[in-house]
Amino acid sequence: MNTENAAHNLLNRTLSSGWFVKEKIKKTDNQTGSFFSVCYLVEKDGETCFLKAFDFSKFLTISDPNRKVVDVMNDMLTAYRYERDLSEHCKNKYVTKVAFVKVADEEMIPGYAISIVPYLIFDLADGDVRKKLDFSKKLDYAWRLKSLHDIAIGLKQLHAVEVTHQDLKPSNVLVYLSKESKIGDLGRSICRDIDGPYNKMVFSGDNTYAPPEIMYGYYEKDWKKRVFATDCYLLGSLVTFYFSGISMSALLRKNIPHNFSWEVWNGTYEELIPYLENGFSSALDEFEENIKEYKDRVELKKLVEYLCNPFPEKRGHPKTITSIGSNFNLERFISRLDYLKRKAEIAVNN
Amino acid sequence: MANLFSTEDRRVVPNWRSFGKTTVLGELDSFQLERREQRSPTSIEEYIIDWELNSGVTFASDLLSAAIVNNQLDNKSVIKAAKYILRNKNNASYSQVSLAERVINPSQNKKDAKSALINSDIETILSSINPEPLHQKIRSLKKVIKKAPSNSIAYVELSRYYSILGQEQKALHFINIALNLSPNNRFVLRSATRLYTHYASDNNDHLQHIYRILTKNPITKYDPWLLSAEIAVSTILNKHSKFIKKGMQMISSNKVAPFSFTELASGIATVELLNGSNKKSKTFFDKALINPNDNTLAQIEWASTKDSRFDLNPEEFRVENNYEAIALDSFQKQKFDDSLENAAKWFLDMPFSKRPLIFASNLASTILGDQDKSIMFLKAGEMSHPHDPLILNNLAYAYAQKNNTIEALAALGRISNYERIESSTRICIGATRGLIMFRSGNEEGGRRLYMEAIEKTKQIGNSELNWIAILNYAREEIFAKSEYVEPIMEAVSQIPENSGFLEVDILKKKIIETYKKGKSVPNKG
Repeated sequence: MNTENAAHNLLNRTLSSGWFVKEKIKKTDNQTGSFFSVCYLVEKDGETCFLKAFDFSKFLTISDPNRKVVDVMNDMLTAYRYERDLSEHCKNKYVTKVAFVKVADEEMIPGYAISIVPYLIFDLADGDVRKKLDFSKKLDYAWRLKSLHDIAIGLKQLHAVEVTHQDLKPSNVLVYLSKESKIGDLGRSICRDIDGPYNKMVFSGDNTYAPPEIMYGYYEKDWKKRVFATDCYLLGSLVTFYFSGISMSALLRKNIPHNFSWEVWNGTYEELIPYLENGFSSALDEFEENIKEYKDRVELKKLVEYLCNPFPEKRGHPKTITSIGSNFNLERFISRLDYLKRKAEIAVNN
Repeated sequence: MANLFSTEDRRVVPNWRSFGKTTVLGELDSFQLERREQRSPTSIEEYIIDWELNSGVTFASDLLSAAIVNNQLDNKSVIKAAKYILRNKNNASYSQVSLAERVINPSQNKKDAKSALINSDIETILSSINPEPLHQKIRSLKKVIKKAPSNSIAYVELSRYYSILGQEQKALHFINIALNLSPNNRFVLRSATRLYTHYASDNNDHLQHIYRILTKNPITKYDPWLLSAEIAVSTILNKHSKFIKKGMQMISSNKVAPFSFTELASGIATVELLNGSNKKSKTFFDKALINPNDNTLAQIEWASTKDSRFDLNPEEFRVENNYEAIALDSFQKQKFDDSLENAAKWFLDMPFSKRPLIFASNLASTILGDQDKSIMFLKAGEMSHPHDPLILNNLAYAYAQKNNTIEALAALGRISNYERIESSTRICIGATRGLIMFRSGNEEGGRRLYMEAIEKTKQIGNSELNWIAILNYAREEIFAKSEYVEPIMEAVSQIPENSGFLEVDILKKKIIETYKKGKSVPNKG
C-alpha cells in the first residue's frame, strides 16, 4: 500500500466531478498557511478554477503529545464541513462579494492508506490585493476605493446572514480580472447558525491583524458585539493598509510607547484608555501623512477613525452609535466609500 | 536678605514631567507583575513565505506589520524586508519607509525616547526665560485637541505648559478637563495632585479638593502610585491616610513591582519618620530603595537631614533625572558647583517648581557669591511665579549684592498683596530693603531695617533666619567700615560653631574672613 498522501497526488487526474487537475500550487495567495490543505489549478469546460484538497492523512504526522489523533482528525473534518456548509448557508442570499465554494466533493484515490480526498473548488482569482497595491507612484484612489467598497459590501452581506469574517486582511482580499474584489478564506469565520471550528474562540482570526482589545486580552463578553466590533476594526485596518501599506495594528503599535505595548502591559485595559487614545491620535496623523495630496483625506481619515477606534464601545459611525440597532452596521461606511469612489473616478476621467 | 531654602516640609508629592518623560521613566508602567491572560506567541512564518515568494514593497511591508505587531522586529527576514523597502524608497509610502527605518535602527527609537530625559547645562536656563517656545507648544497642543477632543493627555500637557508660564487659572482649567475625561488615569491624577499641591495656599482649598478626588477615586486603593499621592496629600494636610495599611499590604504582597511601590514605601517611611518611628521608617525606606526613582532618593536625602542613619549617596543608584537628590547631597558635602549644576537640571526638569529655583539662587548668591547666576535662575522663575514675593525678594537681594539698587528696588516694587505674605518672607523683604539702603549709601536707614529684621526673627523663634540676618547685617557694616562693626561681630561670634545649618556655618566663615581681611566697601554702581 502506498504510504504517500493521496491529496498530494491529484495532478493530471480527471476527478469524478469532471474537473481536470492541471497544476499543483506550492503556496497560494488566498489559502496561506492552511496546514491541512494541498492546492491545485483545475479546469473544466475551458474554465480554470482553484482546488483545495484536504489532506486527511496529515493527522498521522502530528507528533504533538498534547493532542490526540482523534482531536486532530475532528479538527480537519470540522474545517472541511464548515467551509462547505457555510457556502450552502450563503447560497441564494445575495452574498455576491465573497469568494464561495463552487464545488464541494470528494475523490477516491485507490492505493493509499487514506484514499478519500475531500476537496473544495473556488473561482480562480488574479491573486490577493497585495499584488495590486502599488505605492511607487501617485496612489490610484479610484481603484483602491472601488475595491474597498466591494469588500465593505461583502462584509455587510456576510453580516446580513449572521456570518462574521474575523480574518479580513490584505491576503484575504481576492482580485478578479483586475476589477472586482471579493472577500476570500472564510475558514476562520463564525456563523451563528453553523457549528464551526472557531465558534467558541474569543478571536479566531490572525493575531497580526487583531484589534487592540484582543491583543491586550480584554474583550466584550457579549459575543455578537465582540465579533462584529472585530470585523469593523478589520475593515478599517484594511483601509489603512490600502493607503499606507501597513495595518492599523502596526500603525498603532508604532505610535504607542513600548511601556504600553500589548507585549509588556500587565494592567487593565481601562488604565490604558488615555494612552491608547493618544497613540491612536498619532497613528491617524501618520495615516494622513500617507495621503496628504488627496483632497478628501480628512474624510478618509475620519472613516478609519470610526472603524478602528481602539475601544469597541466607541467603534462604528457616530450616527449609528447614537441610533437604535447595532453600532457596527456598515451601511454608512459603504455609502461614504461609494461617494469617495465616485468622486475619485470623476477626477480620473477628467 | 535672601529667603532660605526650606528643608522642613518635603513630602513624596508626585513629580510632574511631560507625558513622554514620565513614560520613559517607567512611572506609567503597569504595576502588576503578572498578566491576567497569557498570550502565546504568533508565528509570522506565512508572511515571510509570502514575501519570499512574491517580493515587492507591499509584501515586505505586510511582513513588517506582522513583525511589529508580534514583537519580532529582530527576525532576519524582517530585517531583509526592511532593507528592501529602504532600497526602494521611491516605491514606498511614508509609513512603509518609516517602519522600515525603525526595524533597521531600533536603537534610534530608544535614543529618541532617552533624549527626552537629557537636560542641558546651566546656560540653558537663559533660554527658558523666553516664553515663545512654550507658546508654540501650546498652539500645537491646541491643534491636537481640535482633532482629538477627548485626548486627556494633551490637556494635561497644556496645563503643564500654562503652569510653567505661571497662568494658574488656565493650568487648573485644563487639568480639570483632563480629570473629567480620564478620572481614573494615573498620569492625569498624579499630574493633578502635583498641580493642586503646587498652587495650594492658605487662601484656597486646593489641597482639600485634590485630597477628596484621590480618596474617593475607586482606583486609588489598587494603584501604588496613587496610594502614594494620597498619602503625600494627607500628610501635608496633617491627616492620617486611611490607605496606609493598604499600602503596607501592597508592598509586602509580592504582586507589585518594586519600582511601582518605591514612592509608596518612601511615603509611608516619611509618615513613620514624622511620627518619630525612625526604625519603622528605615524599614520602609529600605523597601523603597529596592528599585528607587528620583523622588524616593530626594526624599531619603531630605530624611538624612533629620536622621543621619538615612544618609546615602544618590549617585550610587542608576536612577534617571536624579537631580534633586544629587543637588541636595552635593550641597551637604559642600560640593557647591556640582550642587548648582544639578539644581539647574532639577529646575529644567520641572520648570514650574519653585524649590529648585530657591535652592539654586540661594546657593549661587549666598554661598558661591555668583549674583549673575542667581539672577538668571530667579528671572527664569519669575515666568512661572510672577509676583512671587520669595522670588522677587531673592532677586532684589542678588541685584543689591551687585550694587544694582535700581533693579533691586524694581524687583521689590513688583511684590503685591503684602499683607498675605508669609511672616518669614516679610522679614526677609525688610532685611533686603536694609541691604539696598546700605548699598545706596543710606547706612542709618539700612541699619534700622536690619535691626528690625533681627528682632522679628527672634520673635518668631527662627534661629536660622536670625543668624542669617545677623551675618548679612555684619557684612554690610564691615563694608561700610562703620563704628558698629565690633558690636555686630560680637553677635556673630555668638553664633554656634556648628549651627546645624550649613548655610549659616559657611556664611559665618566668610564674614569672619572678610572682617579679618578688613575688606573695603566695593565700588557702588
